Formats: sequence, structure tokens, C-alpha cells
Amino acid sequence: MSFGTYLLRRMLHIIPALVGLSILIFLLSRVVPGDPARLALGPDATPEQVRQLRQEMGLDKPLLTQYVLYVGGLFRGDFGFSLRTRRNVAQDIREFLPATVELTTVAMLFAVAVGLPLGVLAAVHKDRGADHVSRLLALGGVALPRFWLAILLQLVFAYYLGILPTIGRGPAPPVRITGLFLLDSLLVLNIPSFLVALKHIILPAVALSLGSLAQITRLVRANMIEEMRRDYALAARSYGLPERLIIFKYVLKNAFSSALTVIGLSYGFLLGNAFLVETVFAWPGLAFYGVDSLLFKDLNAVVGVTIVVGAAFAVVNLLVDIAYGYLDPRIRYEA
Amino acid sequence: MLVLTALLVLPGQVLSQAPITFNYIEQQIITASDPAAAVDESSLIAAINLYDPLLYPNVEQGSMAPRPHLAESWTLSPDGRVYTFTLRRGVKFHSGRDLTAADVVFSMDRALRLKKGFSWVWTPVLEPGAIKAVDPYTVRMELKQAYAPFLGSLLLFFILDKDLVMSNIRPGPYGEFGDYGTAFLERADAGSGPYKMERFDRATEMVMARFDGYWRGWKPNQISRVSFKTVTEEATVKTLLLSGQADMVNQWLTVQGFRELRQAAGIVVKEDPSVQLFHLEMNTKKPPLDNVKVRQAIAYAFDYDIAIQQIFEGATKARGPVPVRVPGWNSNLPVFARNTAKARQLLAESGVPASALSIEYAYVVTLPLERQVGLLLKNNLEAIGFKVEIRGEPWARIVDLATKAETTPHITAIFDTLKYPHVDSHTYGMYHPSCWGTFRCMSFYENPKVTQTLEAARRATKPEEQMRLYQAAQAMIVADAPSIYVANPLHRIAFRDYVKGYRYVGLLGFDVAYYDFTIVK
Amino acid sequence: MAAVATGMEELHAPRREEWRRAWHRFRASTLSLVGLGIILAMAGAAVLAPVIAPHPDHAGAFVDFTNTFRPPGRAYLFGTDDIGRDVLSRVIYGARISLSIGAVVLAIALVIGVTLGLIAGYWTGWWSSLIMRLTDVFLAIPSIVLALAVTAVLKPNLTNAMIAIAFTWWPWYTRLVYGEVLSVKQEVYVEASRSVGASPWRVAFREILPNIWSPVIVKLTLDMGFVILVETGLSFLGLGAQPPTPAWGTMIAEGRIYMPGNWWLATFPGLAIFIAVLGFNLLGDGLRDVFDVQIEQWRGGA
Repeated sequence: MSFGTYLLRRMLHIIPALVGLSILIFLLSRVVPGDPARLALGPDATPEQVRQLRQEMGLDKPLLTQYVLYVGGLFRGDFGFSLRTRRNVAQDIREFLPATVELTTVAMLFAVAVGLPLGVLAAVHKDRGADHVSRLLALGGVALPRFWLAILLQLVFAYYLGILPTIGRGPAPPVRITGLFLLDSLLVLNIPSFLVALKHIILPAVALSLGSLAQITRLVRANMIEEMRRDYALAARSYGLPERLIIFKYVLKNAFSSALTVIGLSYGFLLGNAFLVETVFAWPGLAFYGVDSLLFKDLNAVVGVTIVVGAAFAVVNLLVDIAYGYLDPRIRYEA
Repeated sequence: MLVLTALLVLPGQVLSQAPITFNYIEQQIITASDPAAAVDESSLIAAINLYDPLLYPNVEQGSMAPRPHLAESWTLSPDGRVYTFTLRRGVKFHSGRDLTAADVVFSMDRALRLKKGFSWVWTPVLEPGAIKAVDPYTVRMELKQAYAPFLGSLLLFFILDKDLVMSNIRPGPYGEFGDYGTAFLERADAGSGPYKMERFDRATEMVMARFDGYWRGWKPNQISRVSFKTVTEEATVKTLLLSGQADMVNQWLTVQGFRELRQAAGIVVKEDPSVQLFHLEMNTKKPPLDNVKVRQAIAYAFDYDIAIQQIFEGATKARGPVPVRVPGWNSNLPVFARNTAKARQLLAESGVPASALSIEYAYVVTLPLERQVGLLLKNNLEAIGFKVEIRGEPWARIVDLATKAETTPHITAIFDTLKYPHVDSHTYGMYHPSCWGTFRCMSFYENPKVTQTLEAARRATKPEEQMRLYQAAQAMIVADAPSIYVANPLHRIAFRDYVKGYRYVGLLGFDVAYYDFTIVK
Repeated sequence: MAAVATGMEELHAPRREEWRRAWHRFRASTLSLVGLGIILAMAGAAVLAPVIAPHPDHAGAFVDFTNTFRPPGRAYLFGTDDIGRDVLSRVIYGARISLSIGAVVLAIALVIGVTLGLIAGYWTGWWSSLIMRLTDVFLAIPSIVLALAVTAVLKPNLTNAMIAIAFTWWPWYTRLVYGEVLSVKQEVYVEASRSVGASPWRVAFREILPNIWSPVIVKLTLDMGFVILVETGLSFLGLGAQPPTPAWGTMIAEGRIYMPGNWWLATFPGLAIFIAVLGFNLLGDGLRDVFDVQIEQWRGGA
């Protein structure tokens, strides 16, 4: 099928999943006992005031109507009222989302930048020193609890060595364009601000990236080993082409596309672990906000965060699928 | 010529001093930025710095007693009902307006109508309209009857900018006053205090900037910018202070934490006896705790000595709800000590079957000390046949749960510092039904005789009569055992050694008035 | 491919031979044996906890405030915590909790997931589509996030954490079994069995199921590690085990406050998690190599 059709089919595929997710989460949030209106108004509100707010919040309508109203609200940018921050959840999400986007992106970049060469190295030096080391690293990366690693990194680098900040993102750069501190600093060539933001993001990004790094290393290694055994590589070798050329030209390209797969596959890993890492580093992102909302039982916020995470996850998977389908036409037939 | 040079140089000197930023760490979020709704420490600190109260504690003399502040002087009518305050002139709000009697009248009416925060101290004796502006700088308050704690409570009466609030009201339940500016005050301040609210992210930080027009004036080395950050994890809080990224951290660190800080160079740990009560509030409306013998049994089962000596390390044992240093404290109250046999006997007498002895203990998840006490309690109670479940909650959620008796846990660990310098704070303020719905009254205690006694105490005109009644009330309360009174802990706080001017007099929040500090590096 | 068989017994024989060969291949890999060793040691510790823990009562409602913060030493190998309890004993009991949670969660996920996967794969039609759409919904979001969302609605304790995680885990097995069933459906012996007149249920359970066990077993092993990671994460955030339950994640959260001075409270439980997950991963990898199985492991991630 053509690329366009493939694209359309993939996009349509997400919609029922997201709708289903929204229904699921919404049902969960409305199942809880307790009166959000009463909580919002406080203990001294008269029954009349409570009834009025319930009406405004739509809590006296049947569940289906509430759901429809909620979804309608979503499209209008209204995610409901947060009892904890006392403003619309949409505003909270707008405020906290860039930090998480920045953290997960940097973590992913780090994982690829380190994992890819590590995987190649391991494959090229298969069953020798470098291979074993990288395999051990990969295993460790998958098994290490992310929040524990974050705590250890904090301990070593922030407390004992004192070279990196303990928590937080640091001050915002003077000019706000995207909300991503690193990008905003670069766009206006503000190097000092960039460096400060970098210092703050290093530890959380490294802690977060380790799982994906491990997966990328293992997958690249496995794929490269397989590729190097393939006929075309053997043929190229028998023609006397230098090994280095074979690796770079033929094999790496395929390894790269498998790395792409892992990016999509492990992005979920990354998003999930962001909840733990952001908590340890008090990184003011969506996940940190989500955890605080959870502990406070602020259900509108929890629903909002879940839906945004689901949407982000779906988008990333879609992008990966598109890229993959573009690179490797065979995939389209299997869709 | 000389005058000109002087004029050029002097302002230059003040201006050339680099702005001093102060980083303060609190382990709880500011739950209310509206001073009329402030009850807990973080909210009170915000109120004290952004607003001015009518009277101020006499911190300069190390006393909690009220002294003139926005009110320069006052008179009291012979029958003790009418207070007339003369206001200081030249006080400016952050908006630039002058503070006048109209603002005072507005602020009190507002507090009474909103019915949040400490309004319950005033609602028994004041109604909206009972406060009048006699002239722009004179306010007359006509109380329904004489009222013992009134003057002391005015330390918590913060004055708001009437025009600013009224020009920012939204539709709401208060008739012509709409929402009374509640939504507006979530993001801005309407105060006259030494600092203005520059930015407020409820979940993380409040930034306050110096208000140059503050009526008390500014001296060199005072703080020009405050970053009030909420950081819940103790390890992080300690690291921030040790590395210098924070200049002062709050009192809620563990004893071990303060010990660690004391040993570090460049850090001062200040210890003072407090007027703070640590107690375990028992919800008297939730079975099996609605049975007084069950509560008494629990009070006899708890191991106070271990708690005081080993968990608190340096606290005074509590006797009743009123902290030991406060005038009016009843020194003849019975002392509870661990007596397992008596506890078992009381349980048997209560008639409650063993299967119903299942309770929940809630604590603030960021305070490990409360967790330690909880585990001690669990250990003690399970020895006499209870089943105890322990649950940690964020402070904001405990404040939320406290609004209704159904959602309040069986037992909650609470620190309650003296709010205003009168024994009324820890008697009426905790055990009169009008206070239900806040974390101070999670016992939902209701004893008509005690209620009567407390109301009579408030009305008493002669000091001896007042104290007698308050002490009688304490005796009755303790007999009913609505709480397990554990300790009056030592107050500890830590800051860098270049922070000068810290004074602790006991009242909650007034020791963290940033205006009082000077930075000498 | 095998010739058409005339009797069922002849079909089972090659399978037994396969198992034996698999075991030999497994034994050859050192890492896999290490993994197996770790798991067996953990399981042993969990079962024998009351016997091998130096202070078994410290895992319960024990308090001793005269004995707090003892550093690791002869008397207390892993030191004591802020309640005066032996960290080593609590870590051992923590193994009990983690392993049992993992087992229960995966048992639930297995039963639901495999059943739905079998149904969806074997009986085509609108049932199948519905089940697979439902699976898509649950997989549209990373497991931890969905588990967190579910815990928001329930009271925070270990049982509810277990329910929340199981709630998010079953779709993986549905998908896995669905795929396997589809590929096995066309196999000769299934055709043979059907032609002999066996009922669809019999075909499903006696013929299809035994042939798809290997990827399921591999996934189960690897998943044990991931479930432990999710459960400890939930406990760390305060949404799982409550005091005094000695769950590893809770111990890290409680001990973290006393870092760096009293580092042993949070470090040893973390180490335990690491070793446990490592063990399951090594074992799972070994099994995967041995059964020569390709499974799509991480979409959505743990």
C-alpha cells in the first residue's frame, strides 16, 4: 500500500484506543466516594452553595452526560478544576508539561547517543572484553530500580562531590519561547543560562535514561550480529572491502532502524519511570505534578495527566511507526 | 554644592548595595494565600510577610503579648465591650493607597463573612457591621460581650486593601461582595506588609519582593527578595542548607537531621522551649472512639516515656492540651502514664467487643517522627487487643480530611502551636464545636458543660475568674480524653550563620518574618 | 515439517525430546545458571524467612527506640533503622512480599490474559475484535502510569497495589497468546486433531496451549522482575505497602530521609531489588535463548 494509506491507517488506529482510555480513566475518577464540590467550598459552605456548585460542576447529571461534557471540555481546553492548585487542570498541565518533555527528550537522546555506539562496539568485539562489559552494563541498566539509582546519583554527585545541583530545574532563562530551558537558551545564544539548565538536567536525565540505554545497547548488538552474518555482508567481505566500511555502510543503517523501534518501545518505559525520577529530583514536570495530585486524591488532575500521557505515548508510537514504515517498506504490508 | 553631592551619594549608597535574596525552605505547601483563611504555618508565614496585622507580638522584648503595630494605641470601655483603635498614619498598601479605617472595617467584615481561618475567634462576639470607622484613622469595635482573648487574637487580624479586593471580585456567594476576592488572592496579594507577592506557584514556590514604601522603612543588609520554596524530602532540605543554596530551613526536620546540621560548619541550629503541643487527636464521633472508656484506655496504653525520651529527645511532657509555659495552664491536671493493666480494665468496662477495636492512625507522611510515634502506638495498642492500621498522607490532604467527621481518621498526629497569646487558643480553639472542620479540631469534641464553661470564660471580665474557668475547662477536657497529649517539643530551626536577627517567641510563624533578619556576610 | 501423524502419542514424543535438549542448552550458559541461582536463593529466603532472619519479629510491629541507627556491623549485618529494627531481617521478609506480589499479579494476568488471548485467537469474529480493541486501550498507556491512576481511586495498601498492577498487566498476555495462537492455528497437528473430531475446546487446551507455553514462560520470568520494579515504585511513592510492612520500596522511601548520614536504611533494600530483578532477567534471557523465542517485549514498557 502507499505510504499515505499506511499513515492514515496508523492514525485511525490510535483513536479508538484513546477514546477507550479516556472512558476508562473517567469511570475510575467518578467511582470514588466523597463530594468534590463540598471539598472545593470548604466546611462552612451552606447546603445551598454546595448544591449550586454541584450543578455548575455537572455532578448531578447522569454519568454518560458527565463524560460527554468532560470530553467536550477537553477539546475546549478545559480539563476540570484542580482542588489542590485551585485552577484549571489545563493550566497546570501547560505549566508542567514542558519540563517533562525536556527531561524525557534529553534522556532519550542520551540513551541513543550512548547506547548505539555501545551496541555497535559490543557487536564488533563479540564475546571479547568490551562485549562483556557492555552486556553487564545493559543488564544492570534494566534491573536497577530507577528511583534508587536517582537517589544514589544525588548522593554521590550532589552531596558528596557537590558538583551538581540536588534538585529542581534551576532558574528559567530570561526569554521563554518553548518552555524547554535548554532550547530557549540556545535559541537566543544565552550560553550561561544554557549551562545552568544543563547542570540541572544531567542527573535526572541520566537516571531516567538507563533502562532505555540498556535496551538500545542489547537490541543494536543483537541486530548487528545478525546483520553481520547476512549474505550481503559476507559477500562484501569476500570482495575484500575493509571491515570498517562494511560496518558503517551496510550494517549501521539497519541497526539504526532497529534503534528507532526501541525508541518507540522504550518510550513507555521512560514515561513511566519519569514519575519516580521526577519525584526524587523534585523536577517540576507533569509526572511530579501527577504524583502530588495522586497523593492528594485530586482526581481531575489525575485524569488529565493520564490522558495527556496516553496521548503523548500514542503520538510517539505513531511517529516511530511512520519513520519505520518510511525506512522499511516491507512493514507497510504487515500493518 | 555639598547638599547636591550628598543627595547624589546617599541614594547611590543604598542603591549600590546588591539586592539580597533569601532562600527559605518549608516542607509543606502554602495551603492558603488568603490571610483570612490562613491556619497552618506555611500560610501564616506568607500572611505575616505580605500583610500587616492590627497588633504585633512584642518580639523585641521576647514576649508574645500584643504591642502596637497598625494600631498605634487603643482604649477599652469599662464594661470591656468597646475597643477603640487609633490607626497609624502614613501606612501604604502595595497598590499605593493609604491604609485607613475603611480597610480595617472591610477586612473584619470579610473575615466574619468568609468564616475561614481564625474567624471563629471573632464570630462569637462580632457581627459584620459591628466594626465602624469613626473617622479615617479611628476604628471602633463593639463586642457583644467582654471577651478575654480578643486583644491577643488581633495578632492574626490582617488588613487587606479594600479597593484592590473589591475591584477584583468575581461572581460568588457573598451577595454584593461576590466571591470576596477569593480567586484574585490566589495569585496576588492585597497587603501592606514588607513584601509583595511577585509570583506564587501553589505547588512549589512563592517569590516575595521588597515593598520599598513599607511604613517601617528599610535599613542596610535587609532582605530584598525571598524565595519561599516547598521541598518535602528531608535529605534534600538538609543538602540545600549545607550547600548554601538555602539560607534557612523550617522546624520540621528530624532530631537526627538537626544533629547532623549542628555539626556542620557555618550553620546555626537554634533550640527554644516552645508553646507547641504534639498530640494524637481522637475522633470522638467515630466508633469505637465514641466511647470515652475506650479513649481513656488508649490514653493509658501509650508509652509516654519512650516517646519523650527517645523519639522527641528534649521535649517537655504534655499535661493537658495547653502548653506548659502558657499563663492559664492548669498544673493540677492528672498525668497519664503507661498502665497496661488499667488500660485493659477500662476496655473491659467499656463494653466494646474486641472485634470492634479496629482503628486507623494517620500521620503527615513527610514527618518521620509522626511515623515513629505511630509505630510505638501500634505496638502499645496491639498489646491490649487493638488492630491498628497506619497511613501516611500529605499535609494538604489531612487538612482536607479534617473538614468532616466521616472523613477524619480515628487518630491523627498533630502539632499545634499556640496561635495567639492566650490560653483560649488551646482550649476554646480546639474543643468548642465552632472550630470543627480544621486540623485543630479533629476530635469533633462536644461536651455541653465544657462548651458553657469556655463561653463563660471568654465573657469573664476579671482575670482571676477567667483563669479559673479556663482551668476548670481543661480538667473536664482531659477527663474525657479527646486526645493523647504527648509532648511540648523543643522548637528547632536551622539557618546559615550570616543570618542575624532571628527571634523566637513561640507564636506560630512570627519567627519567620523576613523583615526582622539582616544578612551579614 | 513432520509428516501427517496417525496417532496423538507420536506427536507428543518429539516434544519431550525438545525439553531435554533445551535443558542441556540452558546448562551451558553461565549467566542463566547465575540467574537461576539467584532466584532459588531468593525463593528459599522468602519461604524460610522466619528461620533464617536473625530477628523475625522486626518485620512486624516491633519498636525499640534505644537501638536506632546502628551502623552495619557484627550484631546487625545491615544495621538498624529509625525504629530500631534489624534491616537484614526486614530485607529478607521483603523478599517474601515482592515474590508473592509478583506471583499473584502474574497469576491473575496469566489467567485473564491467556483465556482472552485464546478466545480472541481461536474464534474469529466480533468477539475477537472486541477483545483486541480492549487490549489496545489498556496498552495505550505505560503500565506504571495506569497502575498509579488506579491507586488514586483506592486506599493505599499492598493489596490494592497488587490489584492495580494486575489490572494493567493482563493485556500483554492476551496479545502474546493471540499472536501465538494465530501462528499455531494452521499447524498440521491442529488440523489433524480437528479432523479427528475433537471439540474446539479440546483443541484449544490440549493442542494449542502446550505449544505456546515457551514464549509465555519466558515472558512470565522476565515479567516477575518488571512487576517487582513497578510494585517497589508504587510503594516508594507511598501508594503501596504502609508501615510497618517491610516492602523494599517502602523501606527506601522511609530510609531516604536519613541519607547520607545513615545510608544503610535505603541502600540495602535497593540492592535487594536490583539483585532480584537481575536474577529474573538473567533467567528469562537464558530461557529465551534456549527456547529460541522472539517476543515483543517492551511496547509500553514497565
